[in-house]
Amino acid sequence: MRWPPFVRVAVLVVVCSGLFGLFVLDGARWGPVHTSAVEPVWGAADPTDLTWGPIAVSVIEQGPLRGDPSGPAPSDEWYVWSVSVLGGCWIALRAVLGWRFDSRSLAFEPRDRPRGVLEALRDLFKRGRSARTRRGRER
Amino acid sequence: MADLLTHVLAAYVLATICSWCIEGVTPAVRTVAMIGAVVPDLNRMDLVVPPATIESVLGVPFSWSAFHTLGGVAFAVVVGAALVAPRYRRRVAALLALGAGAHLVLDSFLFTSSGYSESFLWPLTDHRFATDGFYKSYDRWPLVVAAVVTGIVRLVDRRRSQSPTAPRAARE
Repeated sequence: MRWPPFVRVAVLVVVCSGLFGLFVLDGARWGPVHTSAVEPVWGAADPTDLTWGPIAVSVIEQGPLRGDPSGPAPSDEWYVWSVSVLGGCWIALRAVLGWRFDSRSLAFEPRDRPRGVLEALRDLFKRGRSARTRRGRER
Repeated sequence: MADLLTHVLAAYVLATICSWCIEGVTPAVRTVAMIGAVVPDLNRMDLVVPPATIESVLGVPFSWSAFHTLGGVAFAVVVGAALVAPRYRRRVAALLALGAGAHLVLDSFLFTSSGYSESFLWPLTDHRFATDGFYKSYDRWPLVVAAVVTGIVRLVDRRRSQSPTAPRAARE
């Protein structure tokens, strides 16, 4: 279905407002998690004393926390972040090479033919050079 | 959450398998499923803009973790579908939902200290499923498994797209 531009903008505003409302609702659900100084407690004698940030309510039902209380080592965190950044770069590259923004319809569209990395860099270089030339002529 | 690359690879595998059965799932559209796999992890926005900052500015409670739920994903899918050209809307919505759904399902198998999964189905329900957990978020083996499966699927996909009977979209 082809929507006129103002309908699309209205839909986007409504949906983004709904998403914001969900963030607020979620914030209210977590309650004092962002303001409370309560930290997880491991191996406490009384399970009712156990809290784990936002899931404190259920801890009472399930008993003590389990697993290694020391949590991930710095190398583990480094691993997770580095492979996650790699994943993010991969997607960004695929999105840039496979999709384009059509300024007439104000929408993203797949390219007719996906660009290669070298081709994308060459286009970027050409565009930069033509912009510099244009600026030089204007002066 | 498992690392992002594992989620992205899982979405790539699922989207590639979909492309074997459904016409129109081109490599560019497969990327959308991979983008969908990132959506639940947008709850990490709290590292960039802490919820406490937003709460103090706006005066309302706020949490980015809604992104890691069914409700947050549903809204993000609609936003994504509204940003593309009309003829791609359904495909984009379906593949965004596929990638994000795969992410939530994979994360439901995570080991948690509480023994309960997160409430993924919020705001429909706050229920948290009891789970033993198969892996921790920083385990290496899920990524190894995902990489091997991706390699196999990519190999099969390449063979299929090189066959003369393959649809044109698959060969692009």
